[in-house]
Amino acid sequence: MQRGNDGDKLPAGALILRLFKSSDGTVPPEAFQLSAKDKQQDVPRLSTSAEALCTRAQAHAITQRRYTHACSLNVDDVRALRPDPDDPRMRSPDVEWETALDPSSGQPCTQPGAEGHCGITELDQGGLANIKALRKSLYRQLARLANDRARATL
Amino acid sequence: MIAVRPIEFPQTETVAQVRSLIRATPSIFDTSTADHPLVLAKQFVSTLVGQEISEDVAERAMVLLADLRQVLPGLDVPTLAPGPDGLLGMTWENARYHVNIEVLADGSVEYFGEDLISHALWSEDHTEPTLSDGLLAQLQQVR
Repeated sequence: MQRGNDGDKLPAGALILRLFKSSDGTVPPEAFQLSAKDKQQDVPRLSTSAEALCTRAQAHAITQRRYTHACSLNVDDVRALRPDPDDPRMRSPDVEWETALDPSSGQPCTQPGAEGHCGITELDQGGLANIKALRKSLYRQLARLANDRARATL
Repeated sequence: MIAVRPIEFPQTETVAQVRSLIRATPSIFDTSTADHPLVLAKQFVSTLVGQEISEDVAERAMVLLADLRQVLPGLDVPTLAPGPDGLLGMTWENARYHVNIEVLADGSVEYFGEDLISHALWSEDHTEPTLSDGLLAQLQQVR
């Protein structure tokens, strides 16, 4: 797999990693929530890594071993998600390349595996009635997708 | 759309009476209770304190969980997980229902429930952990 430019979509069928922490290894909906800092970005994206360019061990090191587990998602499944109940005004999530930044310097991260950094978009949509519940429904669906696939303890 | 089922408590006490009895729930750091799943939950949450969540969030979450397990006997310990910005999540799920509680950094809580068959969503926000009738009704469904 070749890395694309920031904002380019990952190719169909690509697998992405998301690291998380939970009491029993189950992927929780909290693993898919954007932080307040994430939401301030021009294009808010939830950090993930393309498995073809970043191993679990590399992702673990890049995130300073803060997490205990890793889960995997297929970008096709992510793109197929719809809020439930559906609202046609809500956009489906997508997965785009994004340059990983070193949190301390703000400069591009040069650690091994950083080239695989990408992010899930459209997790912070607003403007609709009941939007908070719709967003939580999306987090729940992402967690279920991840729980249906292989998970690993780091 | 709201799908809330009536609460069906097989009990003689009223919900208010039960609530009044459980105010003295011990601290998160008190693991002397015989509720071993709760002890394990507290041990996990205590590992998050100072890193992902504050002691206040941990305390509020564990008091709420202990209270819920007293009001709803048989309620499993949920999946516990830290989220962004200092929140702690608790999730119960079965084949049909999903219930999530988030204790936020400011001490407020967000409750969310989803019926995976009817697609009904339910949510409540409170300024502090509350054993609301809506939450109890949702948790009855995942007990």
